[in-house]
Amino acid sequence: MSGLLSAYETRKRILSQELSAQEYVSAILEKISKFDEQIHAYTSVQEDTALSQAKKIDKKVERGEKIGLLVGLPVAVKDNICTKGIPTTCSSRMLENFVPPYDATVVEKIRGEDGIIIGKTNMDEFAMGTSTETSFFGVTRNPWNTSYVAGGSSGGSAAATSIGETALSLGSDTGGSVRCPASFCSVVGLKPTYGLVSRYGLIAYANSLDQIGPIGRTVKDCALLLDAIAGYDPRDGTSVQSKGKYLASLSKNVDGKKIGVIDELFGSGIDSRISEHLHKEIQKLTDIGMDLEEISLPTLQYSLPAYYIIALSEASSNLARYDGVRYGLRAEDEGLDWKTSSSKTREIGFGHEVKRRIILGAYALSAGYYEQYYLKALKIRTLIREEFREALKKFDALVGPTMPVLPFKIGEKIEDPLEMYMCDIDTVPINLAGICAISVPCGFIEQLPVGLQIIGNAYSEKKILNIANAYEEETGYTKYKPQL
Amino acid sequence: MAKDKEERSSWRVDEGTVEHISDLVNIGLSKEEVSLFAQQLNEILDYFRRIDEVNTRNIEPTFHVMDIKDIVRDDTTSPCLPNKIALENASKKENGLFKAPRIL
Repeated sequence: MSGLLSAYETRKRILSQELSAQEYVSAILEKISKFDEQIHAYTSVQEDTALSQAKKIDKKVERGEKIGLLVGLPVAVKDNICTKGIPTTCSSRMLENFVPPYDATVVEKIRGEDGIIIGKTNMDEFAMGTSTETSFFGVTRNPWNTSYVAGGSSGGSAAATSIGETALSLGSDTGGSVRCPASFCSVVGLKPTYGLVSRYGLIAYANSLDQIGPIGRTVKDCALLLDAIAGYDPRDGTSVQSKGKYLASLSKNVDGKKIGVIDELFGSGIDSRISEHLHKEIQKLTDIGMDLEEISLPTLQYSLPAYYIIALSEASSNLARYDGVRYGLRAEDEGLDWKTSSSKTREIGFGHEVKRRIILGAYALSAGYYEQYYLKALKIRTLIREEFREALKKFDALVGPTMPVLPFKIGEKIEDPLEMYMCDIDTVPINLAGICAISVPCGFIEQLPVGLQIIGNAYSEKKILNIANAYEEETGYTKYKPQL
Repeated sequence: MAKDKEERSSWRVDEGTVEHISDLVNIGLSKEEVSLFAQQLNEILDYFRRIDEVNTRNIEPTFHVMDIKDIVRDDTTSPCLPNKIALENASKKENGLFKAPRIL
């Protein structure tokens, strides 16, 4: 049996009893034991509970009982999303032994829809990174070429999905952390509109930008998982009612849709090979009936510094909670006062990137710099939001590359934080505006994956899923799989 | 040009600034980290200052993208974590309480 069936197809086979959930989960676990030593997508795997849950689901199917949307499909969950009784480490030494006493809302919903939490996935420490190299537990390797990074920060989720170590996965996207690894690993990753998916139980990095998103091998798989996790949650005051059903409303008809090609997403710093490749791929949208037009959103060229100033400012406040008292690492502090104990705990508990970001954020918020950096960035955010709003009055969706660079070699950029930040240049504007975007595989350059980013207005997930679905059907890029 | 240089030097981050901020955010740093971060912070802040080019006069800041405020729930009680479970992740506890380091 191939572990690379789409989740959508697998679901049909389990429902028709052509395949049992137990067989499928066993096959996935085999893949994990075969590949994960090399790929390192997981921080922990729930072998026993996954199999016993699969058994229960098979019984439900056999008896013809009401069955949830996810019918025994394994879902890998990024390790910054709380799972009751299962360590949730944020890939940090600080939370190495943290076991949440509750499930995040998305995890509750997945369990409620008969999905199986197969394991927790590796990530950049506290979701701070673009390559999964800042994980305390070591890097995740790209299944397409293991000398290369899988992208980040949800690198483990995307890599596991790409190689078939899971059917589906969850990531979180603060500035591109779902879309970047989806692009680098040739899978589909969606950043939903801010508020569409509850953040309850997501360990915060930058609250006004964070959003949990689904990753799948196909657009249909992404829509399926979005159906399971979207919706209002009274425990997250910023969540909204879902306009679902995303899977059921997928259609191939995109005739006459107006697509804007954003000039600035091809701006300075983009690899010319990606630019050339993307323009050819975008032309294919006209073959399936869409109309293309170039568009300029001039303030987007300032989105990267604005994003980093806002994200790091929020992070410096959010991460103040790790003082070693209620949970997490606590340094040996016998006889020490609170400040010394806390400083020692945070010195050994956080890695370089996390420390750098907290310090930068605190600097941007400090007296004398608040207006110069933080407030100014928030005003630029207003302008970016307005530009998207205007553009999306005229266009159904906007497109560009997901990443300005190809997957890079492990170690290539890690010593240069600014160069690493620059990789986020095409994904961060979407988080600033709070709108939705999807990365869909669009081919390969020198055998390394490339992603097309399709951007939609707030709550227009159906529209961008439809466009991505039509493009996927036309090109067939999601049928390729990595050969390890 | 000279004025540019003067302006730049007035906001450059030196090692003392890094030490001061790390003290404010309670993160102990090694000497090597202080020196590395001072250099990196300057490069990063140089880049961040590109935002100065944007005219934001009369533009309101967006703290949050949603047009909602004051979300409240009904004032009803619901179960909360039992004491034992709430303490499970704490490395030091005493008499059913978190044991914090001394404050003074």
